[in-house]
Amino acid sequence: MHSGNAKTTGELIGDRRFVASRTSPKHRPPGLTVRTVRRARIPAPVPLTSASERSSGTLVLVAGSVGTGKTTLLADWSGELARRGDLVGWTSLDREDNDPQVMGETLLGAVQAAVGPHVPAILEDTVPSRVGHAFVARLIGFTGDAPADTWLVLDDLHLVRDRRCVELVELLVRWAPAHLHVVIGTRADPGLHLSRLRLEERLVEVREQELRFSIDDTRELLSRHDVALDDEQVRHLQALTEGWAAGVALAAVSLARGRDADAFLREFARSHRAMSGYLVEEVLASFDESTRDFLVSTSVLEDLTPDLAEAVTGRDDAGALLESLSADNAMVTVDRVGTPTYRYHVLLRSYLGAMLEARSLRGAREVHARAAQWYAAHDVPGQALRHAEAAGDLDLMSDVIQHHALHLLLDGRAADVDAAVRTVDDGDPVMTAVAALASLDLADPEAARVQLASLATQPGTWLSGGSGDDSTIDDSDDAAALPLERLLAVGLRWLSFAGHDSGRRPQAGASAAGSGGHPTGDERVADGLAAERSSTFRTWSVARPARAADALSAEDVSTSSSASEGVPEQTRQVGSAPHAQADLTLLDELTSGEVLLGAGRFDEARAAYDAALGTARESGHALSALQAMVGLASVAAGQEEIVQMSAWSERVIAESRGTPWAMSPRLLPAHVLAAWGAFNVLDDTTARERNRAALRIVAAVTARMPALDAPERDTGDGSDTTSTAARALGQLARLARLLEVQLDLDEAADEPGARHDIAARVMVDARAVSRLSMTPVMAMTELSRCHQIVLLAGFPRLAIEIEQLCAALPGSQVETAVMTAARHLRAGADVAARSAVIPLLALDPMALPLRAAVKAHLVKAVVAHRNAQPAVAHDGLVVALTRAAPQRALRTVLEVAPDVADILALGAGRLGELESFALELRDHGRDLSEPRAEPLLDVALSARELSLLRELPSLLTVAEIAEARAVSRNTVKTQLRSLFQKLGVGSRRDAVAAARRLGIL
Amino acid sequence: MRYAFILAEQIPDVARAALPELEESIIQTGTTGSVMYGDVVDGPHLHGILDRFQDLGFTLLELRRLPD
Repeated sequence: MHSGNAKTTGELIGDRRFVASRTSPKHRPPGLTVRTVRRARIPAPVPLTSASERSSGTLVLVAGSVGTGKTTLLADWSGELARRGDLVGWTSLDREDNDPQVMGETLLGAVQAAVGPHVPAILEDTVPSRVGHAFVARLIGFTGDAPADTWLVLDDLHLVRDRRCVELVELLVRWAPAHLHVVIGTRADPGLHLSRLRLEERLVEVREQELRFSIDDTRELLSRHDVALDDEQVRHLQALTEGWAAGVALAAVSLARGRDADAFLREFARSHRAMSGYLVEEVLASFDESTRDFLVSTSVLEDLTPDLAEAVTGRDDAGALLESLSADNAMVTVDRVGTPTYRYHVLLRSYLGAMLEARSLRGAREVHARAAQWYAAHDVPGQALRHAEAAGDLDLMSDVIQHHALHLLLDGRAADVDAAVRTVDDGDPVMTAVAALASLDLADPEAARVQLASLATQPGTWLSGGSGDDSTIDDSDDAAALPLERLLAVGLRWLSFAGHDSGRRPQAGASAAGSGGHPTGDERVADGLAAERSSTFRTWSVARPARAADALSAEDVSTSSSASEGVPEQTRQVGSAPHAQADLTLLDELTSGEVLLGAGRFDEARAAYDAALGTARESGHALSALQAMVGLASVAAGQEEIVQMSAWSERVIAESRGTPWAMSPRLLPAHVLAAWGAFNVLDDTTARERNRAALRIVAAVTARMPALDAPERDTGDGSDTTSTAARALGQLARLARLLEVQLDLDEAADEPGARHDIAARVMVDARAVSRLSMTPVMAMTELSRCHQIVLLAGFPRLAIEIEQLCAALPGSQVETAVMTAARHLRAGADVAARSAVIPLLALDPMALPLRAAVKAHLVKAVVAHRNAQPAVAHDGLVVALTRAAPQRALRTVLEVAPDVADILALGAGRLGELESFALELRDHGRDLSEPRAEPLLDVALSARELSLLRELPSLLTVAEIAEARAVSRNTVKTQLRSLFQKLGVGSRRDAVAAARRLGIL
Repeated sequence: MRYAFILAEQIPDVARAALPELEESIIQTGTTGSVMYGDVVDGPHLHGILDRFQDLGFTLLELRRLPD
């Protein structure tokens, strides 16, 4: 039924329609050439009926040693399957896939390559920060929407050894439904519970025996190399090579290059050496000396571009040479999408590598070193580090780190930096500082503190004067290297907001140090933290007129985002990495922004983030640009500039889409703020969507938190060891939950039971707010929102409790007054409402916070409106709208009371410049569904009372209920009393009736 | 830990450099294969050597730990 025997085809065998042009080389099967033999005896697989019958997919295992033709077979199958109309996702696995995160991306890429054209949603999908069961289930879900059977081809699975990564494949195989099949190419049987799959009859095995070349295969391969042997010779060759595909191919290459067949076979038969070695030598012998040299010295590189080969070998005909090798040698493959990339067969490469080692150790190292330099110059610092390490050149490694560490950090690859610094481990202060930055980026502030402290105690390196900010001794002769002092400054500043609050015990320690004369590293770090904070404030508040001017012109939120992308790769100079300085500046600016934002210095923070965004765009650090924009959104939120806040956060979400960082916890604030921004303009759909993303990130991060915290529990004091960063996360999580509650309330407006539940959810967070919030201002913001929710849900007594919580916070008079007024207004107590806001009305509305100003004046307007004072009402409306219009605070205006819509209607045509905003309000006023105004239940029932309530309609006596709950009769009676009181009833029957009326039964 | 590896074929000179930690036994066994032995640090090292045999296309017939 499948035509695996279509032997003769044109130039390029293999249908490439199934390869989306945007897929990476990793997800493209290697191109097959005219020299490829197609295995008539091993046709492309079909789903096993035994598997389909149990609604499971089929696993095809192609297992064989090196050179048995696995990859070629799989590539051939891929073309065949695609021609059949199935969907194929190819993956060439490599050693990098031993990281669950990378493996997750690889698997996602494979599924994208397969079903992307049919399931566009998957192209937007990203790998969560915790790759596990849910992720695999989601991948499988995507294939369910595809119109045909999907085959995931995983080649070279033996390279993946990490248990967690193998487990991902295992889950994929175990859960694969009838339309999803997995094809695995491997040299070693994978730990996939093969025996179980065999029992379930879901496994197709193609093993070495089947992979052996038959006489026919051998003959065909020879003919494809234009080698004509007689039958006897073909049989002889087949016997000598034992059907080993690479052996036949190597022999064919030798013979094609003019070797006499009989002589070749005679010598081959006599040779006792390993067949592979003999044949590789035979092939190499057919090249001239300089080609051999070329092959040997390029063998250290897995992927070769002409440019890279030229740099490593110094030959300017490298491209042409690679091309001719790939044209007639089956051992060199080429990927022609984009710049041609060549790859040697692993067998050839192994021998070439051995030859390189044999020549001289120095030779191999030189090649690695040249490759490292090429990669470093082309801004591929990851590869540069690897080759520098292989070159055994710690100086070169440290050089790469010194020039590129920040680049790697800023691109979110702190783990690589951390590992490299450990390898070099030369005690160089710059290295230690870089290690500290990596630790900070890996959310390990304690390790960073230790690293910085160790620096502080090294003689003559740092802070001998006590305050590290102006004693810069830049003895570095390399302009592109990282200056230690600035690195330290950045590290300290970072630590000051990422570290534990309890770690900031500077004052006592510092003074003790002053008298004792020998301050410890910890004390110096503490000093440095304090000094760095104040220096940050100084730097950004006054001394930067030039920077501020830059910041203004740096970027406007309204400019198109694509303009500055993609340029830097070309503009970066080759060689000495001049952007090291820019990277440092960028890190400097970003951390400054964080410190200033945390300190509530919004204008300075904005300047810092603006500068960071400019620098990040210039140097092409996409992640850092996103972080800077997150900062700008947060600053805008802090300043109640809601329009700016929404614009920046929406832009972060738009620009991060399709990048690995789309769901990064670093971008969490953007999701939360975007959700609130959308909510503010009454766009509940967007708000819900953004908020869901935010909650997903929060869930992912909190799932990981215990693991992060555990090793740090050595601080001993146990008091408040949460870091500022952790508290910020908590704050964002609460904001997201709060918005979810509010959205639920809007949707469930007419279900009293749901309202009850909502009020309970809000109160849990509200009661904890003052303890957990970052600053009183933020706590008040949260409480104000909680207050609004419980009011809308119809629980005025809970609202009073929130007012009390708020009043306990410092500087909360304004906020509390507004809350009280809102509650009275809703209850119809006009006089009380008005007297609550009277003190606020006397103040300049521009000096009050946005929310307070708008609400106070609207309260005034509503009260006047209800008491037939239209002129006063209009005045109040105008003041409120003047304040609200620039920020498009639609919801703030409309949620004060339903009467606002009436006042707006009356004021139509008399609002001048505010008319368009008023029009927008009137349009939306109609959509804003107001929950029924009359309070339903004044107090929330406790969980016990609710469950007791459910027992009441039954015929159980109090004694029976008590027994069923294993509590005393008196307990039940007490609960009943409280329940009756809350429901305002006197008997069990009335309680049931009241509860039914309220919809909670 | 010392290990001996018995391979089905003779190690070509060119491949020796890929296995610098192993020595080849000079005792003639009368077969066409070869015996390599050497110090192996730990499990990963052992499997690394086995991988290299695979990379070079050798057939491992026997593997044995030698008394120290």
